[in-house]
Amino acid sequence: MKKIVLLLIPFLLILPGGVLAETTPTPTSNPTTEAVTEKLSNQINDLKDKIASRVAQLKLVEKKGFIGTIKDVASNQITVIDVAGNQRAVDVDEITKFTSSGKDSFGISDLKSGMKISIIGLYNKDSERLLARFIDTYTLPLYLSGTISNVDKDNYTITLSMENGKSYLVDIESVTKTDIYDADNNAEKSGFSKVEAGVRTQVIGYADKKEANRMVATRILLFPNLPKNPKVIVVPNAVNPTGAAVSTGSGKKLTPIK
Amino acid sequence: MKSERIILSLIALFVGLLVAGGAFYIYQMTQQLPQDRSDTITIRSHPTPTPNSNDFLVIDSPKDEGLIDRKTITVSGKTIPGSTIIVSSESDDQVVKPAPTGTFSVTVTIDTGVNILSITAIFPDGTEKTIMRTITFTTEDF
Repeated sequence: MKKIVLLLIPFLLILPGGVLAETTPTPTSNPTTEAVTEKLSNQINDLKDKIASRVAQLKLVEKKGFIGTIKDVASNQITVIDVAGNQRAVDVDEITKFTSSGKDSFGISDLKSGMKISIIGLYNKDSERLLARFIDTYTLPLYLSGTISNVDKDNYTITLSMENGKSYLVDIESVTKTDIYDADNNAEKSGFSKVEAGVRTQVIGYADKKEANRMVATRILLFPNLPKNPKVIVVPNAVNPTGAAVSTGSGKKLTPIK
Repeated sequence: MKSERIILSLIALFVGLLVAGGAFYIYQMTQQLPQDRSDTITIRSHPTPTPNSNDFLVIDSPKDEGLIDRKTITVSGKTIPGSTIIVSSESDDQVVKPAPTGTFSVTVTIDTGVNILSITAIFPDGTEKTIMRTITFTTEDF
């Protein structure tokens, strides 16, 4: 009897699985039920296809906004060079809204090659084209980082020498906001009188429309406590980016940094 | 006699289960995914800058050319510990030091429409690296 009980225990453990397996519903051979099942199956498949199609569509298109310079304008297409230098194709349709600050009426016919615009629209990842919804004219801001190499107290300008070897003449206007940062990065309001050559500086502003390498500053951030950039060679109070050599008083002319 | 019948029945049941299980396993092994429902995924390895390089600056957020519906945006990323991070938008500036691990996160205000963000890291050796991001603030639904 004991042997029987011992043999029974493993079978009792296996049996529930077998019983469950046996209770799995099997397709019936009733033709009406088969037709209903097939119809339902088709409906489910249709729904699956629709969902998959919509998901693919959503993944394919995304909202984007970018800035660029117009290279070419056609009736319903604009070719733009973006800030990274890439050529971008922009499509325009009847829904696209055109705006320009200070102008009541503005349209695609007002867009000209060389104009800077901002574009917001739907970007198709597959075709790599953007269907524009909003196009606006844009003034590109300049963010320059460098070291002050010259301060012109008479003309209210500073010269900023940068890591790439270029220099910018920066006009300080009455609206220019100047902040000086301490070692803990706490900002304190400053003024033009405290601007000194040799200080690491960040300038935010807009390019001068008439003169290259010249800009109007809206904000100046001074960092006297940050380490000097070894890639920027500065000769304080001896650089004039407008091209004219600066007199040292000894008759020797100094060459501007380029 | 009765107990022998029970034992034999159970053994028969066990053998039956084994055979059924084996058959099901063989059936499953022979099944293959149709060609039109399968896809090949190619994973390409891109070299990512490491914190050891001299100009390490990575921006995790925001995504370039992305749209947001708030006037403030969080800029986060990683750089060399001890650097100074300057984040400037057209209307706001924020200066922060990264955590000892090099990670940083800072919130800046942006204008309506398309904005350009400048993120500059000034490294302990004095050199610098700048990354630009184009971010759009709009509440328009299109």
